[in-house]
Parts: sequence; structure tokens; C-alpha cells
Amino acid sequence: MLDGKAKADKGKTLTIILTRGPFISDYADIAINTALRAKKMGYKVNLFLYLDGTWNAHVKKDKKYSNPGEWLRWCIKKGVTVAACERCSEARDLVKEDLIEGVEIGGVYRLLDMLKGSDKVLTFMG
Amino acid sequence: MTTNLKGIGGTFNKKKRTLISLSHGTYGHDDDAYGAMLVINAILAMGSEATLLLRDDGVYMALKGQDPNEIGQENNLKQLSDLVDLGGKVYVLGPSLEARGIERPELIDDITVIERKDLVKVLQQHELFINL
Repeated sequence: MLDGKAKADKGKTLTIILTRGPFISDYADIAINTALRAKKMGYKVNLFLYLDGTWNAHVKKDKKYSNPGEWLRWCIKKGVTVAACERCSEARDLVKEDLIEGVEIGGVYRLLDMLKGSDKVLTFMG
Repeated sequence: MTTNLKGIGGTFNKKKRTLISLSHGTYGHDDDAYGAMLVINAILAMGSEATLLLRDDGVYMALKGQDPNEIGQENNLKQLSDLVDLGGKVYVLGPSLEARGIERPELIDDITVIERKDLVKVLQQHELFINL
């Protein structure tokens, strides 16, 4: 059930920037789950994996516990646009084949594309 | 000024002014400072307004005389110089300087030191906020 504020925000665009990797802290968990929840509430959601945040897209295999890779796959399935910074990926030797299917690799100008259409921006960093 | 960023990219949303707040130190294990400069200089290169706010350990970014050659990293001062050349502004939070025993003369010229009470005004002047 959406309250009045959530209804008013429906259709707006939220961009989330995640700069921290998986497991070492809760930042990835919170960022990715915020993306999922916002999508469910009707936002158009972009998730940009920046700096060490790019590692989250490397968590590809199923695990016995819930993990950022699993949530990222849900994000993509639900229509969240997920992109990983090209320069940050290259610095970490991450190539497209290493990443979860559906994650784009884009330069910093891909982030600017996301920002220019955004109503809100959230950054998750340590 | 060693890079020519003005010719890169198309047009960014000129109506939205972006504030990038950097609270992490430089030349460490995290590359937040580098990441902040990469984004802000790209925004400026696309013709939009952007401001860098240095607070907490982020204030080290504005120290004069940095020389990271020995550790093989790029000098932040070059990126700050690009930012200023592209028309960007740099604010440094005064209380963060005081807490670290840093005096204004130790910082580069092209910055403005602000107090906590000025933060509200700075926030009101921007529409997009990125914390690194």
C-alpha cells in the first residue's frame, strides 16, 4: 500500500551509486535492496556500481546464503538498470564475461546519463 | 592544466547543479577521492555546474605541495587544477580543518573555507548530491 508521498513519487527516477564491495559491510545489501524496494514502489531505478562497488557484479554463483549477486539478478529481472563503471572494472580486471548477465559496463558518462534524468540520487559509501 | 576535458561528451542537464561531498582522505586504499574528481570534472566538462565540498578527511585533498610520486599515484592537485579551469568551485569545511590542525595558508588558493552555518546555503544551491 503506497502512502501519499510514495504515490506522488511514483514514476520519478532514482539513481543509486554504490562504491563498496560485497560482504565487507552492509552497504551493498542496503543499496541493492533499496533499489529493489524503490522499483517496487514505482520508481524508475538506476544502480551504478562505482569503484569497489563493481565487485558486486562478480558474485555470480548460487550460494547457500543470500548475497549481493542474487539481489542484483533480482534487480535486473525487475527492470532496474544496472551499470558498472568501465574504468573501475578495467582497474580490477573485471570484464563483461565476469559479470552477472544484464549488467552493463559503462564509462563515467554513463553515470552522467543516469544523473541528468534523476529526481533523486543516493550514494552508498563507507 | 594537462588534460583537455572541455571537448569530451555532450550536454549535461544544465539546470541541475551537483554537489559532490568528499569525506575520505587521499592516496589511501580507497579511491574515493579519485572517483570524486573523475565524476565532477566530467560533469563540468559537459557544461553543467558542480561544486566540490571537502569535509572530514577530504580536506587533505586541498593541501599545497602534495607529492605522491614516491607511491606512484597521480597528484590530486592536477585534478583540482582541472576542476578550477573548468569553472568548478571548491568549498572546504572549516571545522574539519581545525580538527586536523590545518591552517588556511597550508591550502591551495582556489578554495573557499566555509563554516557549518554556511552548509545550508550551499546545499540549497544544488539539486543533486553525491557523497564519496
